[in-house]
Amino acid sequence: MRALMAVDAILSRTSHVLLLLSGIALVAMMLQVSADVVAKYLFHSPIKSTLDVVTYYYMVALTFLPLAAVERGGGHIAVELLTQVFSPRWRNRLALLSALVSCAFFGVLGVITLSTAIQKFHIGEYVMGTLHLQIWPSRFFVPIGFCLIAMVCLAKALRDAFGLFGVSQEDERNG
Amino acid sequence: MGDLSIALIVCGALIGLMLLGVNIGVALGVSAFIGTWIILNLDVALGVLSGIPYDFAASWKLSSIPMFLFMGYLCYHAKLTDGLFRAARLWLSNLPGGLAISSIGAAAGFSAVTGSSVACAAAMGRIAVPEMLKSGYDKGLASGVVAAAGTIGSLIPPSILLLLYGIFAQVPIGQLFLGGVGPGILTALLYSLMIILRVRANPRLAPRVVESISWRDRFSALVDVWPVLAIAAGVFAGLFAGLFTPTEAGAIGASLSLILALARRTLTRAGFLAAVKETVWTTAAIFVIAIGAHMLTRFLALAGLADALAGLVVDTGFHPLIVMAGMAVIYLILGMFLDPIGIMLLTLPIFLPVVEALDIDLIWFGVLVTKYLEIALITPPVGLNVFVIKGVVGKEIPTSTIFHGILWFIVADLGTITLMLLIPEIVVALPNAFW
Repeated sequence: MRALMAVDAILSRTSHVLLLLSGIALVAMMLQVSADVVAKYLFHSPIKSTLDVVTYYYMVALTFLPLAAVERGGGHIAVELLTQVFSPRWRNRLALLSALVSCAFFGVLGVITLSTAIQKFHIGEYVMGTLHLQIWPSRFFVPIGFCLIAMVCLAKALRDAFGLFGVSQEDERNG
Repeated sequence: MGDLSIALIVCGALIGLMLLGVNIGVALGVSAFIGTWIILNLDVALGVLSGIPYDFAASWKLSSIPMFLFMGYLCYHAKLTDGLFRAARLWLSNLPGGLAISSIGAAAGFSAVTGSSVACAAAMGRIAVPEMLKSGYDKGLASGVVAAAGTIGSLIPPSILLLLYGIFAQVPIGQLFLGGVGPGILTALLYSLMIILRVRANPRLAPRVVESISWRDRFSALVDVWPVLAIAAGVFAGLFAGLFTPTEAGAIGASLSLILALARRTLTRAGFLAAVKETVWTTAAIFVIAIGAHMLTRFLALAGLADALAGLVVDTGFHPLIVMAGMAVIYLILGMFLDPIGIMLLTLPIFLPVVEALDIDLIWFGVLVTKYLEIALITPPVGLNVFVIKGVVGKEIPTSTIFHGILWFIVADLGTITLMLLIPEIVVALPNAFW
């Protein structure tokens, strides 16, 4: 049980760091796109590769890195209407089912996108815009995000299954 | 078993998974994966999983969504738009139910910086509801008007729903945004008209606020709000004139809002971090569903279900208006238990081929669906806007009172929808004038 709590603490910290990174990507994206517009219209010299960096780095970071943090905070969208009418016991079982399905789905996605990322690393994937831009590194954001959310779902499933951690979901949301 | 029957079973399984509380994005992805596996083979199904997430997310077009979200959250957390209610109040409070109408006016103004109805309702709720209660307004009216007025947030540009629609239906964002302006204004007008009529009939709903307001006060209130409205106007003028792409418009809007907030010293460190976090959070939550929806689209196309349905609807020979009205019913039912973005992404793969087969204007359809979904935000049992307002007002007003107060606004909305169905120009006149 203590081991699982330790794992949970690690998951919590890792998802927080990834959330922070995606926040940095967001602010960087706003600044770079704005700067590009200003440079384009005022100085007639756009910032090279803005479109590609936004597309292949900022957007990929924004989409996949926060996944685990959003899952931990209960931010992913689900239908709650029907689950409300079940007894707490059944609600717990449904939560377990839902966590297991999510864990399996994200786990498969994590493994398969990892193999894609490794493949792109080997061929050194790049795009040819105004600059020659290596884009294979951002391929790894995808498996990182998916694997971590799969682990968060697994931890959730374990907690639902055994009531292991002795912390209610509310505590965790606040924490 | 034919592909079509498999597709139907998969759709049934999808609905089952969602009702059991599985995340919508996961439910969409899992059903699409299993469906593809059955009708083709495991390799193709895994190929869909490995390709779609990255290909979908790495998109310049999609990047407009986080940018517009960020602009809205920044304005909200920096309280840049709090002056809107004061300004609207000074101009409109002489009307019957003036404070309620001011809330609508302020919500329409806030809509120009936010693309989310829920954010719009939250912003107005925190400012306008206490004022109305203090003046002795009926609790249902005071809370209902902000929940309903919030729905203007997704019609007047920017609009996250319209952005998503535009990306999925491949319709230019600028035209869609312009298409939302007419219905947004119409909604505000019909709401106001309804309030005036109701207060005329029953003055106790909204006691007249006696205060002498000079023209000087009125104009000085505008000074407070013009910068943020000017930012919105500038950004959209640039977008409609073709100077900015949607992403650039959103980024410039967010940057200028940030600069304005820093200049006014209204943005705290905590407020800034909250804006960043909520933007990232919402973006990821939306994109997970969008990725799942994309997988389902691919599967439905493979199975030929969407085309079969389109053929079926065309064969019935129903007038497009009947089909659109029928869709309204489906959207209202889905809206009872699903959130608007989920419904939009869930239904587009199935409905778009029908709409295209019937030769219905895609801009008109997109704005109409957005309006349908907005009504879903204020209908029981799961009106998201209602719960937002409930969160703002606390114990003072029970949820049932808010829903009760909203009934009349739903009546006004039915009027808006009828007008939009019968007079498509309300939607398409502006985009057509520009293009």
